Amino acid sequence: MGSTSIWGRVIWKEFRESILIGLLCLVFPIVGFSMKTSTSVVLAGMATPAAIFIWAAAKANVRSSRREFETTHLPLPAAPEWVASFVFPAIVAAAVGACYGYWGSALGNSGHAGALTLVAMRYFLAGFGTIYVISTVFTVWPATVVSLGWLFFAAYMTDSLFKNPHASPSNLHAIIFLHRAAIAGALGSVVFSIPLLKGSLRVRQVTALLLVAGITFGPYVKLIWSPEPASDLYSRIPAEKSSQDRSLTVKPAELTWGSEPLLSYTDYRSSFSREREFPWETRPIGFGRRGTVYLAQQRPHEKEVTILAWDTSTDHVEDVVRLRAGRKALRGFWEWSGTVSPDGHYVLIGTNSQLGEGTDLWMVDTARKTSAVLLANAPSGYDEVEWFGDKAIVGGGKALEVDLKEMKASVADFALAKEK
Amino acid sequence: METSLAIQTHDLTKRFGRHVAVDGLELSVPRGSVFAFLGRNGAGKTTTIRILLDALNRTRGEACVLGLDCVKDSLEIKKRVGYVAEAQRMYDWMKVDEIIWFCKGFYPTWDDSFAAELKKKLDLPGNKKLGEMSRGMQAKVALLLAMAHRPELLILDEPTAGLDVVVRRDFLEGVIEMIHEEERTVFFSSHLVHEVERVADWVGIIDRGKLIWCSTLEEMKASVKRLVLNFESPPASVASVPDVLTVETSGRQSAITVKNFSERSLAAARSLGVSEVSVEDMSLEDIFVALVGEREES
Repeated sequence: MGSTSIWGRVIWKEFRESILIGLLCLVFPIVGFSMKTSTSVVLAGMATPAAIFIWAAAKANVRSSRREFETTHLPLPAAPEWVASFVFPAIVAAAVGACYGYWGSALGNSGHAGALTLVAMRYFLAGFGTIYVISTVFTVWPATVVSLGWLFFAAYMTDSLFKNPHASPSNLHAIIFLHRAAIAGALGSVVFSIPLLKGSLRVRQVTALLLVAGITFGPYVKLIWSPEPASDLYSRIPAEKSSQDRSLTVKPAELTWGSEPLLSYTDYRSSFSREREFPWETRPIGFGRRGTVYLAQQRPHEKEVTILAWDTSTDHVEDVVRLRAGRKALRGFWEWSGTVSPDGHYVLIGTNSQLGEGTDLWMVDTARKTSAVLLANAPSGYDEVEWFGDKAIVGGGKALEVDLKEMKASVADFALAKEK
Repeated sequence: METSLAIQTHDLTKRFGRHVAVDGLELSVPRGSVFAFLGRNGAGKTTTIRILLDALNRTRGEACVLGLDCVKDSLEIKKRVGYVAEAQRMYDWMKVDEIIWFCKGFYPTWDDSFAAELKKKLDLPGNKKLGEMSRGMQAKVALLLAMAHRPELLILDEPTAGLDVVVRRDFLEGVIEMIHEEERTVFFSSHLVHEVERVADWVGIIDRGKLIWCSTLEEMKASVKRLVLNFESPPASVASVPDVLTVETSGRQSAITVKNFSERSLAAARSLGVSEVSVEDMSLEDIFVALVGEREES
């Protein structure tokens, strides 16, 4: 009887045992989202991951205490045991997460089904791994407490995982965190399946716990000593930007963890396209002449925002200007990160102010490579721009009239203009 | 470790916090024997068995099964050993035929025709779910699974616990008959001592984690005897009789239980000035009570 036979059997058994929990988990989002009341959505949102996490806790605990028929009676080698006890259920958890994300999005008409599917899948997988290890190391109860923590964490952590589906797919730090947690869970569970470590339960427990804690939270330890919050903690990946006539677009291409994102430029009129890797903190602002794309970039802990010009025809990137800014990442990204004049000569962009919590509104002359602050520490909301030859009107708060040549702004007096 | 032994432990110890469940156990189970591992509830029988099958980590000492280390070679041991646990939990949702198919894949030595024979002999319905079966039937399924791969060693941990008297008798005798025909080793624990006498040829008694007796049943019965002493006047102290386990006095008669019985024991009894001494054989149950009771008193 070969090992294939063992693999087939343990997977068959896990599959049969997982069907019920899988179906049960899928009932919640269907019922909850079909009802479409806020209470039912919240309940459904919590019930499915809660069921998966509690399942993980119970499963791990039975395995670690070696009470199960399979582990105590049968000659089950370490690899299929790990697959049966961790990998297969983790796949089930991820599959439930995918269905949960997809249906949640479809039933809620969010229009981000693909992205939500991925987010929920990651979230379920990471939660499963973490809870599994906690239950293996301790008991079901601490694992249940951590499960509750996960549920609230998910709702609170990113302001996005489920509450704001538009933002969730592009919350880089949430994605990295979830990846880390999933990997840590997998490694932690392996510790319990390695025969070499079998001798000492304590060693396995401590190793598993350290792995999970170290991998998941280790990178954040530096924040404890950091005098100010890291500027990039909640930064987001670049999003799509299109020209007014939609003939030009720049958007992130395939995103893979561990590498910088690829930005993809497309000119639909000439069917020209170009891809290039940029750091995570780079965002497109708009389009200049002859295939030039302007981008803004603020590296972690830098007090400068760099305006870049990417010549897509030659794939050359150069710095245009550097703008002084606060330490936080570029703000207002979802609302408005900047705009380029139709002739590609001027850029208007809002950055975090060095002076306070507001926005510094900057103007950049891309040809002369100069810049000027039009409005310092202004309240955010300047997100409408109209270009008129050598002038621009910026709306949002009090409308500003910008003299492009002089690089100065004054409060627009429309009444006066009408009288004249 | 000797290869003539099916199980051998040296200084085997298991602690749960402050509680010592198994205390320096020195156990030797010869191959081909039907070994009854006796002890009261909580004496350390199940803990020992779980350590032997690597279902529990030992605190100290060595344990070998079929000449293999119980931790390092646990996989190989499980392939060659059949195990039925006390109140065994299997998969309630599986049917008998399904669990037979499931377990079959793990054993290179699985014998389909023997499994079918056992199923017939034990009168097991293939289409019934385990969850719908009585405890007795479940125990029979567990036995089938433990035996169908023709193990060199069959370990039964309180296999008859919870079964009614008739089923218990059939079960134990059936097991021993089936496995012992092929000169394989059976190691079974029980606290129902009276049942063991009919089937065991070796006996080990564990009490509070320590092995207090280990020999063949014959040797045990030859070693532990009851001496009934009749006195003409009220009996004096029996302290001069060696290895006295228990003393019961009623009027002018005393019944003493001794271990390591020999002519020396008789001579010592006679020297007490008795008018008559008779030597009685004891049942295994009485011997067990005497041995364990003696430790209780001491």
